[in-house]
Amino acid sequence: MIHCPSCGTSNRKGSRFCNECGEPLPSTGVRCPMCNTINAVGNVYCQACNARLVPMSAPPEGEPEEAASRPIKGVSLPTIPLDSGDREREKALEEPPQEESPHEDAPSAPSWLAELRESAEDIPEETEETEDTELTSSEPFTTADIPDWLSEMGPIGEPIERTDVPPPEPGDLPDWIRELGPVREQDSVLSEEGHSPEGAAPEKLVDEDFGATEPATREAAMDEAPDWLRDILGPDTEAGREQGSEDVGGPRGTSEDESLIEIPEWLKEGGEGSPPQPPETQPEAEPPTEGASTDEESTGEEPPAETPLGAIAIPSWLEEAQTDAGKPPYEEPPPPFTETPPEDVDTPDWLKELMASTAVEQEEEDVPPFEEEELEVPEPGIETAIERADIPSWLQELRPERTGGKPTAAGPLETEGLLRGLRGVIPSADAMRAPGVFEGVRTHEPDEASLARAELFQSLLGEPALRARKRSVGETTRTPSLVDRILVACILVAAVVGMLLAPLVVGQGPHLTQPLANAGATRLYDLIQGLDNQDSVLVAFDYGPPAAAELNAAARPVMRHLLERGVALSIVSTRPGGSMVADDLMADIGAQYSLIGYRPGAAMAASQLLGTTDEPPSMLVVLSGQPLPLLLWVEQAKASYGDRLPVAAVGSAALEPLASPYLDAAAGQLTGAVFGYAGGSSYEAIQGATGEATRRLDALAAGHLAIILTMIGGAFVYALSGRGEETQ
Amino acid sequence: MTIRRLTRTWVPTAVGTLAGLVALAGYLFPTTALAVYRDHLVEWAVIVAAFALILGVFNVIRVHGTRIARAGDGWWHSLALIITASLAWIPPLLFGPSHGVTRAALDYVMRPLGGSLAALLVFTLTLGAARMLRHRRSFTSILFLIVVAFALIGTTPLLGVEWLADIRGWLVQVPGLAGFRGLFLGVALGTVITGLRVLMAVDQPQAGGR
Amino acid sequence: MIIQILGPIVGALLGLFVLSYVLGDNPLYRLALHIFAGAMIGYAGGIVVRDVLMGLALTGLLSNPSSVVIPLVLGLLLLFKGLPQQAFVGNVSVGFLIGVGTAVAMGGALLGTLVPQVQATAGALRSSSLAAQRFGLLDGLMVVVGTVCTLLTFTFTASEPAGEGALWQGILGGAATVGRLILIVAFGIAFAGVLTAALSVFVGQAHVFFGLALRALGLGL
Repeated sequence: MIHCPSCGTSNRKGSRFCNECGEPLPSTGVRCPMCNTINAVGNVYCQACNARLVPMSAPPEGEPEEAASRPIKGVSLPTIPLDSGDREREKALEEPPQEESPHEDAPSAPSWLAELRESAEDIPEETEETEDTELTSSEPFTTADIPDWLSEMGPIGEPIERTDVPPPEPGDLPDWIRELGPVREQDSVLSEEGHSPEGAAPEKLVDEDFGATEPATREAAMDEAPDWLRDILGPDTEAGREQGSEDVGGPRGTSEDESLIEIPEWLKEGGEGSPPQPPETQPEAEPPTEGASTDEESTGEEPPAETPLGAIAIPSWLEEAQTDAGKPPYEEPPPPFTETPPEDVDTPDWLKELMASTAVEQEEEDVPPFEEEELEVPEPGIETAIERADIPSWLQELRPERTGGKPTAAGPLETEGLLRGLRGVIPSADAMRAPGVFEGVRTHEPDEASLARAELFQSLLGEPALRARKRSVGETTRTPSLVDRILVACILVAAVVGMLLAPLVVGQGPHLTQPLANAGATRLYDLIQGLDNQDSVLVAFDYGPPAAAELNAAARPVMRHLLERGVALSIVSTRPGGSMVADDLMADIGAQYSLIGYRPGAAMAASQLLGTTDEPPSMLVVLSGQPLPLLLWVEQAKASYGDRLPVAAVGSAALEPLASPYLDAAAGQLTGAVFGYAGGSSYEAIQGATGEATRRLDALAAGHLAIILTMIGGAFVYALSGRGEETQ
Repeated sequence: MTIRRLTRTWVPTAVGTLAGLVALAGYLFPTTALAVYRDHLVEWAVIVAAFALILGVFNVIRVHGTRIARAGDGWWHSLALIITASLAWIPPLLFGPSHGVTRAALDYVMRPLGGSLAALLVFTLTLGAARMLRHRRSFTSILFLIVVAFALIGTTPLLGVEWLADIRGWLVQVPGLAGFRGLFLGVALGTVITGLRVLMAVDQPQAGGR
Repeated sequence: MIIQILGPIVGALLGLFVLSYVLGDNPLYRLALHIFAGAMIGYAGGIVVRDVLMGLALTGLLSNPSSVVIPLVLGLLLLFKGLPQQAFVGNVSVGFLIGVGTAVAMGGALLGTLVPQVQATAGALRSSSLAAQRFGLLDGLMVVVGTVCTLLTFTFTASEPAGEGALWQGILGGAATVGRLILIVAFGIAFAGVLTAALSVFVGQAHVFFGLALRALGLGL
């Protein structure tokens, strides 16, 4: 669960926004764009679908040193703190695209190249890392990236005159070269003197004692070695040694190296006359096998069948490559595959076709493929010491087939990046494409009216929520709301309580009013008076404890009258508190009755209660404090029994105006009615009694007077105070 | 028409429409057997309404209980409500409305509280009437206040001015009657039209929980 | 005995809590309000179980089970409305309630208000009706015109720019104005009635409270 930092609500794992308040939640992982799986922050590849989570990025233009110095690792991730939210993560993810500059050249060499140059004795394990680094690096391949050992091989197709390439030092030769052949005497002499500018054969390449050491094992190993290796490791002859010493340049081997070594024909170039030149730079310790194979492919030649032993002369092309090491190899890139292979070289058909097509393309285009790569192809006719590899049949079947010797229309020519100069490259998926630079939304210039409205809105927002009321001219009185309420309460309490306590002080007490004759009360009285003990009356107590103070005073004389007539009372209620109030009132007057009880549903309850018997009751008396129950009873009684059921009402004073349409003689739906203290006092007056309603009539009148005076006083105060304020 | 929609919407609508039409027919043809069906249906509806009231009580308790559990604003008010509700249902259920405990609850809790709430109206209404001309000064406001004054003084006319009661009586029996009759006619028309829409399934208030 | 002493004191205190609203909203008022609501809710729950489920349903179940099985089943299904996921189960019960309730309301409105009140409006000009009026025919006419004008007050139509439609709209507008005045008078009377009712309750409460206080002081009220 993830807890929201704003409101503390628990959200599901993986949620990005809080479900309660909508605030962004702190990131706890990286979401895979392919399968939406949440991965740990340190993951480079998705744990579910193996999609790359961290985009590959290229160093920005103008910062080659940084790019060169920056270690290119396979697991370099943007570090995003967990509590920084999505914004920083998005920002960090945006950095690589900014750094990517596919249109720019990064002249700096990758570190793996530098490492290869530095040491000739690097361990093989580093090769993999450097290979990975090379593969993952998105830096464009520049001339400076060409390894020295490759550059020393000279341009493809041109004879290399190695004039300024110093012979390699004996100690600089890689082990695999050292192991290839015995050290000649001449080389050993040279080794004592140091390196010879004449291009003495590297001692590593010659091993006089090659044939003498462990002949038995050597023969067994020779049987297993391929033909080209057998040719290299053939009989050791002086001529071969001399040739090797002439052709093979470079650093000599140490005197301690006694292994025989034969210089393959492809290493020799320019015949026997060209002395080996010491290379300006040390050759690569381990030219990658792909380099060798690439070199072989680029040359398009078959290695020579035999390589005379002792022939460690540096070929001219190698010498030339050494001299050209300092030159940017891209200046004069020879077109690859332009030279026809030598006739004696059994070039595979597919290679011939490739060379031919490439030659055609080179004529057509300005940037031939591989032009910037120093993959040199020796001129045809130059004897090489490497025999054509014996490609097994199963491998031949896998060779790519090209239609007409021309490359298929596999897409446009790549002009940038590592694959520069190639065709048929898989176009980068849109998903892999770096997002363009966000230019931002171009905002339009607002017009003056919009600006004015915006300023007005801004000013309104800045104003306080409650405006100070404007005081009108002439207004003199201003009392707070609390004072008004207290004043009104004091007036009312004084009026009512004063009238209630007046009998204690004055004795009989003043009488402000007296009961008046009421037509409705009179009709009700007459109706009840016409009942006898054979009749049943249904009484609906549809009021609760809040209205009991008023309605009990109005209902008591009516109930007493019914009790006096001896009718059978059935008490029902459509309100929960009605039966409770009914029981209290009936117990107070000591009446006998049957309590049917409470029925929910308002109109449905009234209809159900009216339909319990086939014959309607003699009368229906509705006691209600609210207008709705009275109206529902009147409607249901009319709908169920028509004019056969007389209905009477005892209600609050608030019901009188609302009951007038039904009480109207023309309508005749209400036979009689008593409303409030005034109606109750009228009924009591008709009965000739003085009840609770009559006793409270004076207090009611005093309250009325107080209310009227308050209303008039308030009207005069606000009317005379000037222009009234508008209602907000 | 999926089964889901059929069972959750149209079956309840059909049940309601059928029951409503039978009940309405019982009103329109009271002398036939339809009136008996109407009575049965109404009695069933009263029993179902009782369950609805129980459901409402549970809902109120759940709402206030949730407020207590979350310690929201005024949770202690909700606690007082739940405690009172938990105690108030016992006397009427076990003893009935006539029992002393029920009467004590009525006399000492419900009546004082309810009466005070109703009495509170007089202060607010009086204050509102006194401020009426402060907020709106127009002919209608003045007419309204004059009518109120005459109706009040006419309910309990002072000695010697009993004729004010006649003015009040006229106001109630003529313009008051006309006004409220027109209102009730309008309400009845609206009730009939809305009822027709419900019975004809144009409005489906029961189609909930889709 | 204790309850007869403490009871009135508790009632008086609760009443004062409610009346404290005159000074403004306060926690005591809210507490008293919640106590009242809880008491009414609890009482309603208890009384409905007693009077309806035990009095009506159980009695019917014992005497004639077939008459109450269906409503009991519908009522139990209605209780599922309290569960959000299973609320749809109660749709049938709600539909039944709405259907019957609508029919009852329609029957009452049609037969209990529309027909009799229209008849009464038409009969307001009868001699028997006019005899009961103070000003006879004038009152009768005022009742009829007032009723019609009140109904016309709630007319909402688009305004006609000119011609016969504009004349008719003028007449309707005049009738609506008369109806509005009638309604103002009616609402004024209703307002006075509500004031009187509230004042009556206040008088009753004050009578009870001060009566208790005076009785406690040995004085009678």
